[in-house]
This record gives sequence, structure tokens and C-alpha cells, in this order.
Amino acid sequence: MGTEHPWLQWALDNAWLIPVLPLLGAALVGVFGSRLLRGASHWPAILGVAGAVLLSILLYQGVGELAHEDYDRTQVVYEWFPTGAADDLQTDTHDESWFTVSFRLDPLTAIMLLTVTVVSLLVVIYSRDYMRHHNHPERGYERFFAFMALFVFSMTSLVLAGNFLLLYLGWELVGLCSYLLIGFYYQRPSAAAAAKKAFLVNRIGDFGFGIGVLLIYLTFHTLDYQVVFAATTAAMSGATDQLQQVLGLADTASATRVMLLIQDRVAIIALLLFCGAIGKSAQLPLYVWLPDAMEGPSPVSALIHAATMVTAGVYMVARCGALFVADYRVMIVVAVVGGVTALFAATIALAQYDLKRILAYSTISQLGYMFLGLGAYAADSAIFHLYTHAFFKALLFLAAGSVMHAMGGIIDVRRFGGLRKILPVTFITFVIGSLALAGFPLLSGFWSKDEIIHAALQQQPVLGYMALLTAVLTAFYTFRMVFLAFFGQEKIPAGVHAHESGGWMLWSLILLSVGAAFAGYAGVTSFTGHGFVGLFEPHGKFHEFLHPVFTPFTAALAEMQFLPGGPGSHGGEAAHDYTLMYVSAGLAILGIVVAYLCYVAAPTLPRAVRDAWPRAYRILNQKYYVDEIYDAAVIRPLRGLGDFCFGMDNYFVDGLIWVVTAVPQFLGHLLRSMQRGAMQAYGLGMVTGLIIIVVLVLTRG
Amino acid sequence: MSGSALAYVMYAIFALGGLGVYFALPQEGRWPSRTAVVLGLAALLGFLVLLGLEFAPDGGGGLYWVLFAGMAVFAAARVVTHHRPVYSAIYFVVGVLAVAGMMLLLAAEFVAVALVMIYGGAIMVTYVFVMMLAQHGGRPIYDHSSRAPLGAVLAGFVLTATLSGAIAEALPAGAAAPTTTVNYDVDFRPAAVEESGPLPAGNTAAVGATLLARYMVPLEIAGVLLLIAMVGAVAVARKRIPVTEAGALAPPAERPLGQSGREAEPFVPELKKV
Amino acid sequence: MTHYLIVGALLFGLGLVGFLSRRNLIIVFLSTELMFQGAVVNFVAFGRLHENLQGQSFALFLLAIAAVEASLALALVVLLFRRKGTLDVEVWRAMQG
Repeated sequence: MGTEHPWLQWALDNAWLIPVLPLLGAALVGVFGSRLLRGASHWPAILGVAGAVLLSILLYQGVGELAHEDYDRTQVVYEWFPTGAADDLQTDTHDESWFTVSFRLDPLTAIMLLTVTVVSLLVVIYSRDYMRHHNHPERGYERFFAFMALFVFSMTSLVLAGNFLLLYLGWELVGLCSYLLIGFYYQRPSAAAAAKKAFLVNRIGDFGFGIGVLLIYLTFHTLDYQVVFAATTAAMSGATDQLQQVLGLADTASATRVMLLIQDRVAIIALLLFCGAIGKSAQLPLYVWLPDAMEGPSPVSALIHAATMVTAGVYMVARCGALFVADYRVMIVVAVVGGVTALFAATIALAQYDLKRILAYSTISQLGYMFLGLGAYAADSAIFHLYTHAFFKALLFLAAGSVMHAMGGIIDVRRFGGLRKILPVTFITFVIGSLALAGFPLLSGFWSKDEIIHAALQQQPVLGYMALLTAVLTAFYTFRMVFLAFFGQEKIPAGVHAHESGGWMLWSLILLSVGAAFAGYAGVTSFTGHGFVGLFEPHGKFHEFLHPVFTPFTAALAEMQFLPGGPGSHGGEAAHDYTLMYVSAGLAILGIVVAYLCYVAAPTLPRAVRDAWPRAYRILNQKYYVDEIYDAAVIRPLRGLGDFCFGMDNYFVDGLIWVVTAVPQFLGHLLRSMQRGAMQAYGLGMVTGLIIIVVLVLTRG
Repeated sequence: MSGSALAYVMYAIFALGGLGVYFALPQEGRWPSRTAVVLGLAALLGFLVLLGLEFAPDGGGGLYWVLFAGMAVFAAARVVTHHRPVYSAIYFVVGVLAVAGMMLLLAAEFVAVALVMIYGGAIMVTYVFVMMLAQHGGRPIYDHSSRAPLGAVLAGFVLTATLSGAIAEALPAGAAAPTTTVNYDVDFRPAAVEESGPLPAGNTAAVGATLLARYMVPLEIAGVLLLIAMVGAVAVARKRIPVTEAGALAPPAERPLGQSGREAEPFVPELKKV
Repeated sequence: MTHYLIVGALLFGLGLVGFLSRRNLIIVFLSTELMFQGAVVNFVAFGRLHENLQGQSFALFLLAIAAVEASLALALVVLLFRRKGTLDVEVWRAMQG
């Protein structure tokens, strides 16, 4: 593996620095923050993440240069621990194998790293001002930056992982950081409860995920991506000799055995891994933690619950494409879950008033889009949407945070209004982000969303129409948010001094808005277009870059072409469907116009609608009562079980112990009552004993 | 009467007697009821008749035995159940006399006389003296109630019945009843003393000779024991009388009864009934 | 002989009853004297049975022991009386648990 530039080579060889630099930052802040650094605690975090950004850029360049070379993209960083001899029925000559910490340095990793580190850096810069009030740091300032840097470490480890072990490690670590950061204001009971909820719901998903990883190990006897995916591909196509070579098996017979085993299990494995994705990426039914997670500070919501952690599920499914495409039913499940979640969450967002909650449901909905894309064999589109979504959603959250900062912590959109004059920069950036989210033409969100809808229509038309409907709703509720907050009469809650945010916050907002606006062009520009329209090829530089990673998807698509009535393939072909592009643009504009009508032109209209269908409104406003359903169906029985066990412990087990202790006590009491201090009583006792002895002696002789 | 039937009859008599004694024990100041008297006397009579007929038909004392045994048992019962200590002491003397009579019947004259002298003359006198010193007048509660009367009666009578039953079975009636004029030989006389001629006739001489010849060591030890007891009694019961600074005995006013040389207040009993 | 033995047992038993149930210290010890009486009767009866003087000799020793015991017991009774001012057995409950 060699590039021409020594810097790039150095970056590739030392990719381990990318996670480690933020970790060092976290350690520095953690150790020295409360004593030495205090107000300057943000520097180690910013510097660490900035270093990671630089290295990610270099890595990206390096991977790009080597894109067409054949090299081992898995880099072993550290040999961690050995396993015992894993001999069982499957393999005959498997020696001790070591679990390693290994990185996978391929295009997908590079893109993800760039996204993660850049957005992280901007968010951390933003946090410097957000976590201050009148230039005085908040309580827990150091803790915040330590956790943020730790999170960046966790996420980059997850993304860089070259085997499932490191993936799982990063997976759990991001869950931990999420818990720590959601519960940042731990003295607030709602925040503590939300952190617990996030962790526990994630745990449910992670349980399935863990079992999936175990199953992978049992089936393949390795956790390395390369080996597992190659083996799966070989097994699904019946190439036993290739399988034998990949897994290092002894002979064809064992290869056949393993092949059959893989063919049996791969669907289950994929579904189990998907469980983890459902939990981590907040899909139906494990999405309930994400709205509550808004209890954390806005930077946390921006970074973790919009741009990075929740996208880990999408990344994982994209990475494990070989496992997922092996069974078409799994892909259907993925697509259905994604599509339904997208629509479901969008409907809930229509009736929410908390600015951050609307954005949270919007995130769930957009993540649903990504899974829909994955399920429709358009993995590159899904990752593209992930990338654009990271920018505009983070932007929106940070802008909402700016609003919140100005409004003194109030986030209910009914309590303020007409802020566009007071917070001009926030307003502009917010609008840019909203346009991107709504899929307004020419902004980034438009391109990525459009591709997914196209893919969905090709594969599962029903889901495609659902996605179109969701697009309208997305535009509507996004601009409902904008119009309610920034337009209309100026209304500021009492006692709040509304001012535009500080310099650091503004700059990160501006930079993010640039990204939100223009990041999409990476996915559509290519150098083979003709004219203006031809510039917008569906297969831009972005997709080209990622192409080698997603061969399983493209291969599966190619196969499906031969199925009778199978849909046409998605990419790489001739005419892009311009009709769809116009339709989705029109829908986005339609949504915006309707929102304008409702909230600016005729403000009484929403109220009329609400009064016309009060029950529907209430259902949406109460989030379909899902939390209540969970409480009744799951939490109460579990708590009942807990109470029962507690009662068992208290009464039964402690009762046993009490009996054991009561016996000596009782005996003692008995014996004590024999001691009266009265001599004659003792005499009586003695005589009684004497009589007994005499009787015994005389009768027995 | 066969052995087991005899035993059961005896047990019945003992039960009756026990019941009588139970009712006779002083409880809460109630006088021994007539029930007790009737029961007790009946038991006693039955007892005497039974034993007299069964075990002492001829010889072994006959009528005299009945008399003395009856007196002894009755006196013992009254010692135990009387509510006034002085009467208990008197009844005890009666009992001693009865036992002495029985000794005579057994041809143990020396023992009989010694019993009367030592018990009646020495021990009882001591008891009466102490009663004089310590006994409250009137009706103190501790004379009019017993603790665990049922338990005591049961214990005593069950033991007695068991032993009696065993005795009755082990030694059948009429065993070895020599006449009252038997004169035991001396148990042992050393050769040197033997030469000095025959002993004067009489139980006393025989007992004396036996004691001195055969049981010399126990005799001496008994003497030492008596000495120890005397010294001990004096040491234990010594009363420390406070002295004034001048060395003279403190005046009687300052020597209240019941003090043993240290400050202790008279105890006013507030006791529960047992 | 049996009748003498049974009388002796009866005397012993009655003395036991008195010892265990009376509350007056002096009567308690008087009952022990009664028990001694029973023992004396037994010894002498057995001596008669075996036709030697062992029983009577031991009965005399018993007499000495009885005297010793009576004197010491009464000394103690006097001491106890001085402590608590009463002859009641019930007051001595310091070891009550």
C-alpha cells in the first residue's frame, strides 16, 4: 500500500490517531479540567477533534488515491487477546486466533470519518459559547467537554472498526456517552429519567445486536469484516472453493458444511444486527428514547442525536451489506421499518410544540428514509442522505439551541414569535437548514432525498408513495416550525433578554449552513455531465467514491433484474428520471406554501383544523400514546416482577433467615426462663431429673 | 397379694397421700381444708394397714411398728405442711421420737437414744433459737404460701412411689424378720482387744467397739468435721458491730438489727405471690 | 424389712416436698433434716437385714453430719436474714435471667 505523498501515507499508517487524539483531549479535560483548565476546558476537546479532522481529510485523500489499487484495506493496529482453540463441527484446522483491534480503511470509512469529525468540530466550537452565560461557564463545563471528546473517540472507533468486536465496542461506548450527555443536567429528574430511558431502550436493541455478533462468530469463527463478508458472498453463490480459501478450511467437505450453515443463518444474523440498528437509530418500535433525549443540551442533540450516533445503525447496515442482501426478505424488513417509521414520525411532528422535539421526530423520520434507501438496495443514496442530513440537522439543532439560549431556556414555540428581527443570523441559518430538510430544490437535502424516493419507487412502490407523502409532511412541519418561531408578531416571554448569540456559536452556524447548502453537490456533480441539467447526475463523485464498498448491493440488484417482473436497476444506467425530480421539488414547495398559508396568512386555520378533528389532534400531540402503551405493556409488568422478587426476597428469604435466627433466640428465651435465681426451682429440676433417671434405671434394670 | 397388684395399690395410696399433702400445703393463707385432712388421714390409714398386713404380719414390730410408723409419717407431713414454723419444729421432734421408736424395734438402742439426744436436744434447740431471732411475728406471707406446690408434691411422691415400688418388688414380704432381742456381734475386734475378754452385753458396747475398732478413721474424721463446722458457723454468722473512734462499741441505738456492718436498709418485701 | 424401707422412703419424700415448696428458709432446712431421718431409718433397716453393725455405725455418722449441716445452715440463714431482713426464699433472685 503506497501513495505518492508521504503525508497521506503517514495518515494512512497512523489512522489510530484519529480516535486517540480526541481521547487524549478527553483525558486532559477529565484530569485537569476542574482544577486547572476550568474555563479553558474547551481547548483540549477542540484541539483533539481538530486533529482528528485534519487526519480524516488526509485519510480521505489517501483512500481516494489508492481507490483503484488492490490492497488490504484492513489494517491491524493491535493484537488484543487470544481465544481458545475454537474447534467444533465446522472447522477442522482452526488454530488459536487472536482478536485484534483492526481498522478498515476504505471509502465508506473515510466519508463517515469526515462527516463525523467535521460536524463534531463545529458542534464543539459552538458549545464553547453555548455552555456559557454572559461569558461565565456553566456548572459542569469541564464535564461536558470531556464527554464530548470521549464521544468523538467512541464514534470514530465505531466507524474505523475493521471487525465486529471493535464495532461493538464503539457501539456500546457511544451509548454510554449518550447516556452521560443526555443526563448532563443530572439534577433535573426528567433529564436523569431520559438518560436512563435512552440507555435501556438502546440496551434492548444492543441485546439483539450482541447475539448477532456472537452468532457471526459461531458461524464464521472470525469477526473480521473482510472474511465474513467474503465468506457470505461465496456461500450465497455456492462457491465452495472460494469459501474454503477465504475461511482457511481444510477441505471441500467442511466447506460445504459451512456453506450450508451460513445459508441457514445469515438471515437471522442480519435481523439480529438490525435489532441493534433499530435501537441505536431510533426506528419503530425503539424510537421512544430520542424525543426524550432532548433533555440534554442542544449541542448534544445536534451531534449525537442528529448527526452521528443515531447514524451508526445506518452505517452498520451499509457496512454489512453482504449479510443483508443475502436474503431479500431481510431487505424488505429494513425498507418497511424505515418507510413506516418515516411516515409515523412525520405525523407526530405535525402536532408538537417543543422546537427540539419537532426536530427529534424529524430526525427519526429522516433516519427512516435512510433505512428505506438501504432496504431498496440504494446504499450509496442512503449514505449520501446520511451525510447531507448530518449537516442540516446539526445546523437546525444548533440554531434551535441559539434560539433557546436567547429565550432563556424556553423552547416551546407557542411562547415566542416573530424572532427574525431579533436573531437575524440565527434566522437565516435556520431557514437554510429548514429548506435543506424540506428538500427544497438545489439544496443538499433535495438531492439525497430524491434518490432514495426514486429507489423506493423502483423496489417497493407502496413505500415510495409513503416516502413522497412523508416528504410533503416534512416540508410542512419544518416550515410550520419556522413560521411559528420567526414570523408573526414579536412575542418574547416575560423577563427574557433576547439577544443574538455569541461569536463562536454564530460562526459554527454559518459554517454548517454552508455545508447544508452545498454539501449535496458532492453527490451530484460529476465531470461527465452536459450543461446545467447534466451536471446533476445521480451518480456523482460521492457515489463513485463509494462504489467499491457497495458491490453486494449492486450485485444483488443486477441479479434481481433477471427476476420476472423485477424492477429495473437503480444506478449506472441511462436516463435519470427527471419527472421524479420535478415532482419531489413541487411537493416540497407545496408543503412550504401550505405552511405559509396556515401560519402566516391565515393563522386561524390551524385552530379550525384542530377543532374539526380534536381526537386526531390529540393522538398526534400525544405521540400516539406510545410511551403510555410501553408503560402499561412492558414497564408495569416488569416492575410487578421486580416487586414480586423484592417481596420474595424480603419475606421469603429474609423470613427463612429470621426463622434460623429465631430458633436460637427462642431456645435462649426458654432456657432463660429456667433461670429464676430461685434455688428451690433448681432443686425441683434436679429432683425431676433424678426421678427420670431412677425410673429408667429401675425399669430397664 | 401379688407383686404388681400390691404395687398398684401402693401407688394409689401414694397418689391419695400426695393429693392430701398438696391440699395441706399452705397456700394463700387458707387453712388446710377438711378435704386435706380426710384425704391425708385416709391415706395414712391405708398405708399403715397395707404395710402392716403385708409386710409385718408377725414379728418385725407388729402393732408397735404401726404405731411408730404412723406417728412418724404423720409428724413428717405436718412438719412440711404446717403454717407456723414453731409447730413444724415441735412436730419434727415428735417425728424424731417416732423414728427412735422404730430404731428400738430394730434393736438399735444406741442409735435411738442418740437420735433423741442429738436431734431433740441440740438441733431442735438451735432451730428454735434461730426462729426466735429471725421469725417475724404475725402472719408473714412466706409462711402462708408455697412455691410450686404441685411440682414439689409430684416430685416427692413420684420419687417415693418409684422407690417404694422397686423396694417392694426387690424384697418380698416377710424377708428376714428376726426377733427384737437379737444382739449383733461385734463386727470386728482386733486380736489384741479380743484377748481382753468378752464385751459387756448390750448394743451400745457393740456399737462402740465397732466404731473404735473398725471405723476408727471415719470416727476421727467426723470429729474433725464437727470442729470445722463449729468454727465455720462462728465465722459465717459473725456480726460486725461498728466501733466508735474511741474504740468502744457503738451504742445499741446505732446497731440496728439486721445490719452486718455495712449500710443496708431494711428490706420491705413487696413480693408477688408465687 | 420392706416396710421399714418404705417408711424411710416416705420420710425422705415428704422432706423433699417440704424442701421444694416452702418459702421459709428455716422450714426448708428443717425439711432437709427430715430427709436425713429417712436415711437413718433406711440404714438401720439394712443393717438389720444383713445382721451386722455397719448400718448403725453409718447411722451414727449420719447423725454427726446432720448436726454439722444444721449448724452451718442455720448460720447461713442468720446471715441471709441480716442481708434482707426477711426469711423469705423468694427475695434471693439476683441471678434471675
